[in-house]
Amino acid sequence: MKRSKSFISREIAGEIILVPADETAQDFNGMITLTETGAFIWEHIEETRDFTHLVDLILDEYEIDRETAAADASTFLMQLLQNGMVHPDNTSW
Amino acid sequence: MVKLSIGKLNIALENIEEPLLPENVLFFVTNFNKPDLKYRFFFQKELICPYLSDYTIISKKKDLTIYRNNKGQEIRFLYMPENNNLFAICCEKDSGKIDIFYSVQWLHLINIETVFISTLALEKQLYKLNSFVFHCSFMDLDGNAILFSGPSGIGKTTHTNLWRKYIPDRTNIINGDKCLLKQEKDEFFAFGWPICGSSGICHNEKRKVKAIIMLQQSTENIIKEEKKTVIFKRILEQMTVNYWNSDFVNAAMDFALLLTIKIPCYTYACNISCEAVETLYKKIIEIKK
Repeated sequence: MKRSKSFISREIAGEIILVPADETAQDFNGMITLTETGAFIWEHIEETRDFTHLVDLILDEYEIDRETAAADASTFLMQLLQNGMVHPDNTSW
Repeated sequence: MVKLSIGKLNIALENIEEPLLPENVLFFVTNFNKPDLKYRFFFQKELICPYLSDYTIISKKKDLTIYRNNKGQEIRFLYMPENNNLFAICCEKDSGKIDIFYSVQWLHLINIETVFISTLALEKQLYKLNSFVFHCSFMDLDGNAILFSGPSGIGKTTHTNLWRKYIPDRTNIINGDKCLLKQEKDEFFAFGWPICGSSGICHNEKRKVKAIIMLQQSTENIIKEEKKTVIFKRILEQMTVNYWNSDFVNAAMDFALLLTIKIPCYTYACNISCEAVETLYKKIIEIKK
């Protein structure tokens, strides 16, 4: 999964803020503050091979069960995809 | 030729003379040997831009269309917001030269500061000098800048007027609507800006920034120290940023982040009273030099 280069991020006091730029800014107003888990997914999404791998990474970091991690990751990933903030770079996704 | 210094940017305007310029722009007329940028004005009956072939469209809004080439140079088509009529084309060229094609049909409006300044696309040049336009009421308090910011209609002018009313001998309004912010070494300075909204107050003066106050309306006077992310967002929202230009966005975000860290920034929910001034004044004088 690749992050869109049209979103520029900054880390401020442990939180991540995303701001749209280039052509994305045409249709997307405002900024996004990521939750702690959201920031973790955003930071690591490019390292992941597929969804299961993403959930594994979350389980390594946070003490939650697989079902909750998968549900949270799925919801957040859907938001990222819908807003064009990430796009799949292989067929495993 | 007219020479202007805006912040640290020295620009020379060719084929245009002072009587055509807006009154507030004349405060920025100065003299220097070598300009950073040369603008050439061409007044035309029918606007024609001869350089468009290598450019692609990157942003289109009601009053502004932007084209860019592979060197990052822009051509801007500017339209009157009221009627969508094209009134000027600003073409950035090599080696610090910019051509402006201005419609003679709209010549009677060139002395309106927002019309004239928009043709220059100054923010595109100023961000390279790490200078950014900030939407605020720029007030002098004892020789330092206090910047009251927030969305239009929040009460910046009303609040600043309270300071003038209750502490008239120690305050002065430099610009009622905007300033140009620039970092110099470890400090931030507010410079005058030729646009001042409906306030009508516009001076070409520079002050060291002491505090940024994000105003909110309230029945009581409460100073809030917000999370850094909240402050960063509020500051960035009030900066003029060309979001279609990722280099600009990167620079603006770095600048907003530094401001957030280095300058005391408070959210101030306040009413319209003498106490609103007193409460904030007590907080401001606590700030170390």
